Amino acid sequence: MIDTHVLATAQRFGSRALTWLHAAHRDGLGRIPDNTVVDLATPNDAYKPLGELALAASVVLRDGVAGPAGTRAARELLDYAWEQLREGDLLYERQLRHVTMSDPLELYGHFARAGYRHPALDDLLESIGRLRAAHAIEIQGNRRLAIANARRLIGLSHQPDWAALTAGTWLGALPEPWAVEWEIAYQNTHTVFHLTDWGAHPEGLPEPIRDYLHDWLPAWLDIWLEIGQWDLAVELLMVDACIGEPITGRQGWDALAAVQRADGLVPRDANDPVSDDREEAFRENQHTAVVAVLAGDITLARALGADAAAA
Amino acid sequence: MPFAETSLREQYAAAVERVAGRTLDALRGGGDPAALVEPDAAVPRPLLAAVRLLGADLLAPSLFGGGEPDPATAALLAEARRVVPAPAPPSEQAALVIAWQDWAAGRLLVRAGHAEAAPRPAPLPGPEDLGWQAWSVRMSQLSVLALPTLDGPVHDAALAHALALARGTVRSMLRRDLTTAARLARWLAWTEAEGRRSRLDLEPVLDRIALAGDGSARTGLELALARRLLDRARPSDAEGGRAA
Amino acid sequence: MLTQFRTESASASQSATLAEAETLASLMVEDEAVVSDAPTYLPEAAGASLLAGLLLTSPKPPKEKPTR
Repeated sequence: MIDTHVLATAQRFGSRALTWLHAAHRDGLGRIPDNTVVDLATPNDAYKPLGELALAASVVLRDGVAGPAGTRAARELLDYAWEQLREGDLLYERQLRHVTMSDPLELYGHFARAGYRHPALDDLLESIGRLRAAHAIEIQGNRRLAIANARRLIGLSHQPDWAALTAGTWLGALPEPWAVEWEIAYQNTHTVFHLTDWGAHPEGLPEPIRDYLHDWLPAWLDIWLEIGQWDLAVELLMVDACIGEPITGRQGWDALAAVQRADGLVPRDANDPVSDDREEAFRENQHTAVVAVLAGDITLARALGADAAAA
Repeated sequence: MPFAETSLREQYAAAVERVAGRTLDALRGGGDPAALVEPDAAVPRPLLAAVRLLGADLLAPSLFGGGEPDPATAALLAEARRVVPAPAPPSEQAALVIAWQDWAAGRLLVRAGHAEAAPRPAPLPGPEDLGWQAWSVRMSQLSVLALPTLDGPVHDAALAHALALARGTVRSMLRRDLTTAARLARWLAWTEAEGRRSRLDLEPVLDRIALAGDGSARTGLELALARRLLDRARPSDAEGGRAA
Repeated sequence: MLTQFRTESASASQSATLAEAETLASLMVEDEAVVSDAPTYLPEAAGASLLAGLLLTSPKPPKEKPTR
């Protein structure tokens, strides 16, 4: 049974972050420059954030717990992101040129989740999936899971060996929990996100990893909350929602709700003050808004889903 | 006189290192802590304060040896408790911690014929009241209770909330407060000696603290006691000659 | 038993005794480290990551962009 105080806080937190994201994009922030070509010079500037926006919006639509205003905002954000990527043409051209690059595939997965399709890209990805080269690229374990989950979302025929992929991650080794680093913590959150498809399948997480997170997630959340790593703390709360019955309680939600501003912005961390320049503030804190939307949404959806299942 | 206070603290801390180091030696089979004191020589006051401060841990070597508290060491501890002014804690919580530390020493001294049985201090709040974080810090301050043959409500709480102790250990390790982590790891080793398998693998924790910790004899003593407790938890492993 | 130790006589002044009592207590009940030194963002760790490593992962690096 999840604490109703946590649910109310999570709901408010996520929906305010969604409002903030929606307002920013409505006002033209985060656009891809008109002269953009497939060889993106600065992919982290607009391209990657659009993918993250699509991720958050598509999960909100998938879960259907956002209410009419939230659902409408999510739909508009997805339409906007799809249009920015030229209805998928940008993804298609980038993937056509770079066979083993995974970011077009990963971005497309989030649109596919919400029914935005690009038939030529579907064919291209299916063809690439048959190449040994596509599976031979040398990357981190959690990144392999990202690709596997994208293929699953798009419905490609390649069937990954999930157990082998999981064994190749940090979490798969059940390491000493005190040896985690900031960067590793982000990798771990993504291992959980991809294995469960962002909370849709908690059972996708092997039992030993679930037990491991049950034991140590509270300690990780505590130490990163203490030093004001808000973005990472929100991701850890999302993990808590994705693994089934949340374990960390009110601590994180109360702390994060307290740092969220009235307009919905959640500061990335406590180190740097939020810029007075709106564009800069958007650029630096949009990732935290995305994870805030997801954490609130998944927490609510899992709790309501569990209640529905129990009823 | 701030200078005098600083120097008093330094004197005490240095004496604690001496006494802890001596206790470590005793634990490894090298005589008893009372050998710090030369027969018929005046015992320096900081040394007595250190004896008072380390309390029940002074008697740990004889407890791990399977026997009753060493008589000479018990006499020294009893004398320190008689002579050294009672500690003046800054808060009620600290007073309660000290009361429990003194309870542990008192229990062992009763067995050595040096003290009257003292009443149990008031119970400590649990993790459900304090949160597992603050509770585990409180338990780290009570690590002197984690000794063989001692038992009571604090020990019951340690067994009942072993996962909170393990989370507290990981939390302190990650905050790079390895002194607190060592004391919590000792509690976890105690729960293992009581037959509970810890959720946290303790050997690497103890190794890590030994390598990256403050290097003090006081922390070294916590680690050595933790290892001895682990040896009791897994007698078959102890054959491998694990260093105490 | 007690005769085997000769302990120094009690301190002369009350303030000395109080200082001893307070020092003793502070060493008996040591608090945890006030400031956490928990792991945080390392530029050298993120600097090695190209887009593939960062996609949909962490928000950093804000200022030190990886050179491509």
